[in-house]
This record gives sequence, C-alpha cells and structure tokens, in this order.
Amino acid sequence: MDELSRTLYDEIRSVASVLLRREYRDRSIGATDLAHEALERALRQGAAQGIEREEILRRCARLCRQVLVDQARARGRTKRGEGKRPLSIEVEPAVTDGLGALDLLAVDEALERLSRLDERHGQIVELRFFGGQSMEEIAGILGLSLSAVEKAWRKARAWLELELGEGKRG
Amino acid sequence: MADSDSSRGDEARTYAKAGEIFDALCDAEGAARSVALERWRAAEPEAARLAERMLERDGTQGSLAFLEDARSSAVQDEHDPAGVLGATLGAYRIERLLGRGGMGAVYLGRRSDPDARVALKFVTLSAVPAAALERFHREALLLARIDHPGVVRYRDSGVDAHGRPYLAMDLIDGEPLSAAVPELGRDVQACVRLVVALAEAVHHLHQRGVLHRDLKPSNVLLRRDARGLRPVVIDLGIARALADAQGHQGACESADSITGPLGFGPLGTPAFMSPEQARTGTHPDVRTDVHALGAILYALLTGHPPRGLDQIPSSDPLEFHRRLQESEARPPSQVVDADVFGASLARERRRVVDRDLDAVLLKAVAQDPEERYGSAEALASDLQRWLQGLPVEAHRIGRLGRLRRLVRRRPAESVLVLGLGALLAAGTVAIVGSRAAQVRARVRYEEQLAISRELNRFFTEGLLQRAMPELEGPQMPVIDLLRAASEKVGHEELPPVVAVSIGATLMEVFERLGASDEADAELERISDVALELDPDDRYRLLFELQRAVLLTRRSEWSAAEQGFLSVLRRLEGAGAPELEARAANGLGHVLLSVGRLDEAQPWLERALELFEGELAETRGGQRDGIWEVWGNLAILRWSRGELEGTVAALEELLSVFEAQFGERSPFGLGILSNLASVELDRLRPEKALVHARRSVDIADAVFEADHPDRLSALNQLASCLSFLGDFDEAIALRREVYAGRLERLGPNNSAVGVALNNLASTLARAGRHAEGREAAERGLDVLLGTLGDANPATASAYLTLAVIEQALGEGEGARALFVDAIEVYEAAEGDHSAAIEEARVHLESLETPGR
Repeated sequence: MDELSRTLYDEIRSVASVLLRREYRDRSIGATDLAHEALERALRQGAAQGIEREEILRRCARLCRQVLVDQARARGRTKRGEGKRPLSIEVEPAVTDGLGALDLLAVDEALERLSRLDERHGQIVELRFFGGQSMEEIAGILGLSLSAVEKAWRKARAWLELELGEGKRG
Repeated sequence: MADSDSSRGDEARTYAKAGEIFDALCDAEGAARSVALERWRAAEPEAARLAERMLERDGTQGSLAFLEDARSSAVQDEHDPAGVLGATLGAYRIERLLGRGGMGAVYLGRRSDPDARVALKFVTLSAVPAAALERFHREALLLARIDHPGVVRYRDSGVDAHGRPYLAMDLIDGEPLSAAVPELGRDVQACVRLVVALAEAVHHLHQRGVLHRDLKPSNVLLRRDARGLRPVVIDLGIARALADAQGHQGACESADSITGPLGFGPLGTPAFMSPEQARTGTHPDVRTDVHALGAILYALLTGHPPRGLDQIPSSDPLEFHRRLQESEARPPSQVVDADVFGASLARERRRVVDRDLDAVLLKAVAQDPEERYGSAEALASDLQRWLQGLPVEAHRIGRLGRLRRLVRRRPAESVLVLGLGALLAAGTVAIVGSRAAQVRARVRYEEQLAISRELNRFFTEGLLQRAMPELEGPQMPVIDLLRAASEKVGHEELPPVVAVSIGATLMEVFERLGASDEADAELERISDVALELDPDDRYRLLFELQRAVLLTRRSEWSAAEQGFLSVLRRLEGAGAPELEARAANGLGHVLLSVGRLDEAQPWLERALELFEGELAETRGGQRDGIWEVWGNLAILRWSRGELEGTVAALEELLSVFEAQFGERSPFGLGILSNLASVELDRLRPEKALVHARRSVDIADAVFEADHPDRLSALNQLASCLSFLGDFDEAIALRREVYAGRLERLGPNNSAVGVALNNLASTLARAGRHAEGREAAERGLDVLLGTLGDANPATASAYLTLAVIEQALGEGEGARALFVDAIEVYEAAEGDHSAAIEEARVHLESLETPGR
C-alpha cells in the first residue's frame, strides 16, 4: 500500500469504527454510509497531496471494500467458524447478526473472480457497491460513457447473482 | 500454473462473449430473439448458455440485495407485494394481504401459541443495510413499550427472507378516520372531542420520546367502544424508521397509506404535511405533530386540510410548495365547504365554529412552529376549554407579555440595579425589612440607613457608572475597577460594617468575574473583621451569606449548605427579608444541585414568597434575586421532567433579561445554557445548538478563558455537538472544560467529576472506548466521593462506564454497571425515566445475545 492508500485505509477504518459505535458493536455497516463519511476526508487529504479526484474515488471504493471484508472476516471467524459459505438465509425475526457479514465475504470472493474475467466490470461493481457512486459518477471516474457503464453494470450484476446463487445451492 | 492461466483466459473469453450475446438478446425481441439465440447456441454454446442464465438473473433481487442501493426497485406482485404470502416469519404465519401502499404492505398474520391475529407491516422496496436495520429494531423495541389505548400496540419486529424489516402490531378492528367523516360531520363537538383524545395519545408518545411525524386521517383508526368512537394512532414513527432503513430521506409520506379512499384528496398526497417538513435543514419536533393534529381537526370541520393543499393538482408541486411555505391558513369558519357538507349543514357549521375555535386552530397550524402550541397536551387542554365554554388560551397574552410591559414601565431604575445587582444588594440590606424590625431597632436603622447611602454612593457613583460600558466614562475593565475598590477598602479607615459590606460584595463579584484568587484574598481580608462582629449582626450575616455563595459557585455543596443554614437560623425573626430571601434561594440552589429536589422546593418557594411579598415594593437588588429564584424553580421543574414548562419559564426569563441588557449580556448566559440543556432533553438538538453557540459567543467576548461560566457554556456546546455527531470538536471542548475545572477546583470536586463523565461519554460515542473507560472510571470515583450514590450525576457516570464496558466486550461488567446505574437513578430524586429506560434497553440487548 502506498502512503495515500494507507492513510485512507486508516481513515476509513476509523470512520467505520465510529459508525459501528453508533450502531452498537458487532453489526456490519452499510457500504454506502462508510464510503460517504470517508470520502469527504479522503478528498481533502488527497487534494492536499495533489492526487486527482477520480483516483481517490477509485481507491476509496477499493479500501471501503477491504475494510468491510476485513471486518466481516473477523466476525465470521469468531461467530460461525472460518470459511463457511452462507446457507440460504432462513428468516429469524430480529436476528440480523452475521447475515450481512457472511454474504459480504461471498460477494467479495465472487467479485474477485469477476475482476479476473473482466477487470473493468469488477471496478464498476466495486465503485457502485463499495464506493456508493452513481452510474454517472462511475462513468466520470472511469472515463467511460454512461451507457457503456450501464450496460456493463447490468451484465456484471447478473453474472454475480448467478455466481452467488449457485454458491448457495452448492 | 500455465494450465490454470490458460483456463482463466478461456473463462474470460467466455465471459466476454456471453456479454456480447447478453447485449444482443437484450436488444432483440420475440422471434428475432429466438433466432438470434439459436444462432449463438450453435456458434458459441458455452457462452450462449452463460448468457441465457445471466439473463434469467437480470434485474433480480437475490444475494446482492443487501448491497443494493435503494434506488433500484423490485418487481412486485400486486397481490403479494412483499412476496411473503403463506410464509412463516418468526412466530407468525402470513395469511392474507390487508392493504398496500407505495413502499409498504400490510398482511394479516396469525400466531399459533398463544393464538392471536396481528397486522404485519413490510417494506416492499429493495433490501436494507444491516446498520439501518439495527436502528430500526432499536426503534421497534422502544415502540413496543408504548402502552396507551389511543396508540396501536407494537408487538414484535424482524426481517424477512430478503433482509427487509417488518413490524408486528395488534390488529385494530376499526376504520380510518378519513372514512368516518360523513358520520362525524354532523357534530362539531364530537370532532373536537375526538381530536382531544387523539392529542392526548400523541402527547403520551411525545413524553416517551417518539414523534409521529406523519399524522393524518389515514393514520388514525376509529375503534368503537361503549363510549363511542375512540381514535387509535397507527404508523407511529414507523414511516420514518422505515424510510431511514431504506436510505430514503423524507420519504415517509409514501411509506404507508394502506387504507381505502379518503375523504380528502388522493392517497399519499402530503396535504397534512407541516411547513417545516418541506424545508431542508429543519427537523420535525413535537410541534410538527401539533400542526398535524390541528390540520386533522381543520379538515374534519371544513372538509379540507389547511391552506387547501388537497386541491392543488399533483402536477403542480411548485404551487404546492409555495402555498405550504408561504401562506397562513384561513380561519376554518370561513372555508367550510358546502360541497362536502351540503348547504344547510355548512351554514350551521360556520356558526358553531366560532372565533375561539378559529383562534385555537390557527394557532395549532401556524406557519412558524414557535407560534404553535408547545405541546399536544396544550392543544388538547385548549380544545377542552372550548368544549366547556371557557375562554381559550389562544387569545390570551402570556405572562411574558405582562413582564415585558413591566420592564417597559420601569426601565431607568432597572439598568443600574440589574447591572451588577449583587453590588447594590449590599447597599440595600439596611433599607429593607419589615416595619416591626424597624421599630425594634430604630436607632440602629437610622445608622444603617446612613451607611447604606454611603455604600450606594461608593458603588454607583464611584464604580458602577464606570463599570457599565453603556454609560459615559472611561473604558476601564471592570476587574481593574474592582481591584481599585478592593485596594481602597484595604487601606482606607472604614467603619467595620462598611468594610465588611463592601468586602463581601467584592468577594462575590470577583468570583462571578472568574477571579477566584482575588475573591479568596477578599475573603481573607475581611473575615477577621467580619467575625468580630456580633453573630447576629446583619453585616456578619451578609458576609457569611456571600461566603456560602462563593462556596456554591465552587460546587462545595456541603460547606455551602451549612453556611446558608446557619445564616437562615440566625435570621429567623430578624426582619431582614432580603438576606433571608437570598439565603433561602442559595440553599435551594445547593439542594437542587445535589439532587435533593423535595428539600429544595420549600426554600425556593420561601424565597419567591419574600421577593413577591415583602420585597416587592423595595428598590434594589431584589429584581436580580427574584430572577435567580425563577431560574432555580425552572430547574426544579426540569429535574422533575416537566420539560415543556421549563422551556416556557426559561424563555420568558431570557426575554426579560434581553430586554434589559441586550442580547449579548453575560447575565443571560446561565439561562441560555439551561435552555440548551432542556432543548437537548427534548431531543431538539438544532435549537439547543443555537442557544449553546450564542452562550459561548457571549462568554468568549466577556470572560477570560478559564472563567467557570465560560467553561459551563463550552460544556453545553459540547453536549450539543456530541448529540449531533460532531465528535472532534465536542471532545476538544470536553477536554478544555475538564482541564479548566481541574485547575480551578482541584481533583476532588463534583464539577470535575461531571466534566470527566461528559468527556468519557463523548469519547464513547466517538468510538474511542479505551480512552473513554479511563475518564469514566475517574469520573465515577470523583462523583461517588463527592455526591454519593443517590445522585443522578453519579448514576449517569455508572451508565457511561457501563456502555463503554459493553462496547469493549465486557458483558458481565457492563451488566453489573447497568444495574448499578438503574439503582442509583431510582434512589435519586426527580424524573430519570428516560435514562432508566436507556439503561434497560442496553441491559436487554446484553441478555438476548444476537440482538
């Protein structure tokens, strides 16, 4: 990790811990919340170092994902044993614990596979889910047309749903 | 390695190809699509298979749902919008759809053991982030504790298979208010009675910290019982909780509407919205619900909500907005709609809705929340007065108006007197007093009168005129002026009583100005002289009184209490009402500060009685004194949980002070601080922040950095910021307050303990638990040592530490501390129900792991 990423990572982690505190401990937190809180500070810091906005947004999404996944891993380990794949989600009233966490790990792995198939698609999903960016913003960040981003998003999303759905059955 | 690389290459190629096919198939339709698919299947079998399966998943809400932004919307089945029919959720089997709306759907659920039917409300949009869910469940937990016949009973909450929250509530056998309009329409009194009952139910919610935010006829069900139609509020706070859970801000309007056609306007129109809800940056408070209650009655009486908002076509949102934001409602008696009620009934109604009822409704739905009733209860009682044929409050001029007029009548006198009231208090000691006392000591009275003239001259002509910046004269810092006075007292040969009197006053003024060292020096300088006076001598008593005041300002409660008591004992029958009133107020203040409310009350009442009785016609510092008593009585009400009354009293007080001294006077500081605290208690942080910022601005301009009043103002500001989530600034302020008090008061002082507790609590809120724990432990020690274990401040310290231990994973420790907190709160006087409730919710979350 370079200097900016390291600062960003710490920044995001501290934002995450604040958010977690607000929502009480042991909860997974919304990626979008996290991204927005972290972004403002990250942009300030990045600007000071002369790094372009698009670059910061891209890295921020990546790091949000990393923080969330790290968190989910830590929790997954302590709660349900490491590396278990999620089963289909049975409804238990008022029990949300762990649900997001384990799904998140599965998404992360699937996203990793997607990135190997098509790096750009992986980036779009990452910016969308973990960076909390809109389609227009993503187009701006990646220097693509809006329709190209939308098309790619639709495919990537369908592929992920497929991949995750099979994972559950298997 | 090479093998896996090449297989990955193949996979990537297949994915890319499948993407092409996917796009092509998306664009094609019908036969063209089948033909294209056949061709692809032949040419690229693997990619075509993948593309087909991807298409099956296109747009579905599956495993990714929990990450999806709420912007995307799911495909819904009209008869089962939440997709849960026949499913079993928790204890409930979902039997049928009862109703649906934009974002929500309500189902009938049945519980087998014990057998019960419930209404289950679902969100039908996309999935919800876990953090928002947690907030939702916490809110649901609070709602489940609300038990009032006028409010739907919430039973349970959970999430469905898609991670969407639902709520289980009692099924109410009744119809929406909107549907009952024709029946109610005949009877204005019945409409008013209905809204009185509704307002009482809403007030019950407010007292438990729940705002409805979306009251309207479709959210009120009418249940028929022996006494007629009884309103039941549904969807309380839920609309908002659901909207929040969805990440939709301000989408509450569409979150319900489960009922049939309404009497007024189309479903889901925000015709009952309050003006502030349409503004950005303003937050709803109890007066938002007051507006809605008024709007409901307005609509029942006239056929339309205020401002005719239901008659603006939905195609014209700008006009809607303009009318909501800019216009006041017209008097209901003038807008009764003959088309709704028929000509003869409308005529009758225009007569029954008289000027009083017009006034009540216009006050309830005023554009500016400040002009509305301060609570649902106040609206209910004014409507009740109308029902009983009594004059309504909506017309009356408040005590505030009367006080303002009083001040206008006596401006010149007050400026000097109030300017440094304490200074003159000393001068007036001798000229007040009951006639009996004057007769008993006529000679002495004459002598004292002479002294008091001398004192008045010394202060008003020699010092005070120059001290008041508004007056002509050299701009000399007050503190320098007083130092000069102190020098003079020290060197000049003054009669002992004069020296003591001036010294006692200087002592208090130095302390008030934050110059503790000088106050101590003054105390030192005069105590020998003072203690040589006869124990019952007024000036000896004045000295002891001022010493107790000084101790009070340093939070040395038990010494101060002894001081005041000893003065009061010797004043009995001495005919010195001014001294007695000040001592009684001082003692009341001390008792309040240590949480002994019941003991404080009679002393404060005694002080008020003296100020309003024997002292009412005397000139001098009693004006200052009476306001202190009013301030303390306001705090007493506050400690007992009467927030509404406290705010009214403090605002009155503030406006009187401001009328006297302008808006930047330090004299309003304590009032502003207290107002900020109460507003925070009432969950109105924005308002609190305004007061707190103002008091800090004033304190910064007037006081030196470590002045105790400035530190108190900073502390208040920190509370507001912490409440609003601005932790960095809040923590910095907390540290400054702590350091300042530690320096000034030493480590074993309750004010230092309170500062530590506040610091700990803010650190905890910011997620810095380890630091917070240290501060919390020290704070608790100090508070236990100074205020003991039946005091709300001590209880709060237990609570803070408990929350921190919980966050650090020390479940056992936390549990014990929560129990301690509850016990201490229960042992303390006053209303601590909100804090106890909070502790219980925490305890419960510890006892049901996974929640």
